[in-house]
Amino acid sequence: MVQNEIRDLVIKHARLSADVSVLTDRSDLYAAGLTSLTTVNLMLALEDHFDIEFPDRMLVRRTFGSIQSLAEAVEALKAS
Amino acid sequence: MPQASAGQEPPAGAGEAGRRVRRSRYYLGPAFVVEHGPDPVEGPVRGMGVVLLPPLGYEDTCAYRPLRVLADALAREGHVVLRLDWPSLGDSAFDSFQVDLVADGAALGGAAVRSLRERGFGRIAGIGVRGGGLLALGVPGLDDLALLGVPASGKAFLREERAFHQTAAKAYGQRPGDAEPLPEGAVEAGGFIYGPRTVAALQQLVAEARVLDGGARRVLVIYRDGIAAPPSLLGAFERAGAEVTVSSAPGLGAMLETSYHSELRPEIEAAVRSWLATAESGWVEPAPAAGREQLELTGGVAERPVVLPGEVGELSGILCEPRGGVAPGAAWTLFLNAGGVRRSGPNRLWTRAARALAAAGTPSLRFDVRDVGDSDGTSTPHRDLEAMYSESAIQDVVQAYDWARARGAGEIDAVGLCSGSFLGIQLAARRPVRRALLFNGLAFVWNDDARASGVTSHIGESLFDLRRWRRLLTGRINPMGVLRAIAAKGWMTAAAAVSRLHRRPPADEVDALFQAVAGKGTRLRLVSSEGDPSLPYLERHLPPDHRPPLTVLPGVDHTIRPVWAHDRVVELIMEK
Repeated sequence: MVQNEIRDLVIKHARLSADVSVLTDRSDLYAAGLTSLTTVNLMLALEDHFDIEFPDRMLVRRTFGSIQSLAEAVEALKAS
Repeated sequence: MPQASAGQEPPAGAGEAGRRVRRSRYYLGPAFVVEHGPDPVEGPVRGMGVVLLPPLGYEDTCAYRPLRVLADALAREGHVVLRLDWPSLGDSAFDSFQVDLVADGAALGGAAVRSLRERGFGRIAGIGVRGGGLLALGVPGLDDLALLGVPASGKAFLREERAFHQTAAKAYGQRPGDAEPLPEGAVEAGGFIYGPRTVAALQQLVAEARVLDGGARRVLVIYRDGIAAPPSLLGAFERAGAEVTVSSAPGLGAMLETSYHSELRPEIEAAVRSWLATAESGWVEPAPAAGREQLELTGGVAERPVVLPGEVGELSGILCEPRGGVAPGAAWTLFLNAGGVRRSGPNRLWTRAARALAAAGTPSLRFDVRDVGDSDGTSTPHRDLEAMYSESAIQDVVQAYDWARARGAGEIDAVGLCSGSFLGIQLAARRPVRRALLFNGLAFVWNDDARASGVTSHIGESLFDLRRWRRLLTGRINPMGVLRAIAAKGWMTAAAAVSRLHRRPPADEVDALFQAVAGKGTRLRLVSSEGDPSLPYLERHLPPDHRPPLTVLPGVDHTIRPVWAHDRVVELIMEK
């Protein structure tokens, strides 16, 4: 599942203050400690892993706000 | 004349750990330079000079202290290192609308390379970090080039900067409708602007296409933590015949992500040192640097670096004054560090305000207290909150005050933000201060009540307000780092902090301090960002009838990153 792959990348690159294992797919990653700077790390890791590129319109908190929203963005970009 | 001795055995003292480092500060064209070199009395100087090319924007703010530590480490190994401020950043000339960082950065890097060659260095290495690495690719004359976290292109770099800015936007609040929009073609990111000419040049800049511009023979690539270096860039270097070393040394995030406690990780230092050590360069007796001691700016303003004696070594500063100097007895302004941010201030606001003041006839000193920026002390800006709010930091500010008075300053104004506000009010308690302008002060007296406030302000602003908690977790300060530091010191648990803040302070030292300072004749002015934790702190400690005039800045964060608010900050500083 894309969500699991994203969860692994979140663990590795997002440097959250919360324990990622207790977060649901819909948990707010910013509330869990994601910062604007670690968002960039996560974005680059996702692009590298899924061979995608987030367009400018997706470079907003809504996209990176949860594992679920990231999965939807990744699926949309892979499909396009 | 410089003497080179390439290829001979290392003379006595070469590469010995613990050699003293000599630093000098000067201007190379429009750029401020700190030169780090080994004490020649203790041993020889390597024939390879190094040019350290820092990152851009907010990352430059964070990386300043770690790169100073790296430059010192290389100097102890025998290298002379030139550490530059890019035009429009730090203490260099210009603002972001006056430069094309791609062209002007390459020209500056080239000038640094030439200056080292003219002094006798036969081999020159460049070390470029992130956006500075992109600019380094265009610097002519580098024999060796280390690239740390360099993006694949200028376009990719701008996209990362936009992502950083846009995902932080919620922390800023609403942009006022009457705020002036950025000029067409400019990009705002984390308190800094990339001007239209720089943006246009970056949009065209592809790292792999620039590989041949510089012509480096050896390349070290350290990429972002856990992410592979761009294969196209590595391939381009190999096709160009360069010897490429790829390192997975972790630690770029620790260098680039927070100004509060950025650090040079030993893995990065070791990777760079060991790579440089494999280059044959011989030894040299270099000619002295030929940089200028003064930077002349438009508006009749001149700046020069100054070094003040401090308790733990040198305190480094920039004196900014009307060209030709000022009459004895003129009022000066002291700009104070905001947390771990160097003397150019948050978002370079202190540099900008200092130049505006000088153009209007008022000199100023912006300087670094110990442990911060370019002053001596620890390797990280502040190990913890105790260091940030320490008596020793106050003593450094008092030292700077006395230094200014000894050089003819009459009255003194103080300007600070965050912990700089603490330093400002504490200075006013110890020395006559005409006016203190205090932005977003989170603690004016460092006691257990402030520690409790520090727990909640620096970590989560208010443990009772989840919305505020979330807002504080958007990148200003690494909350867990502070929490770990506090927990490790055993100062106070979060529960104890909450409990303490539920009570009224017993006898309010903050109120008493403000009354005492005002009683001495200091005009106090408070400024807080809307929603900032400084406001509940003021509510708790300074009743409205005891409070100095307070200005609330709408729609900005704790360090006032939105650039549309910067004019207002400068106006407040310029007020008489």
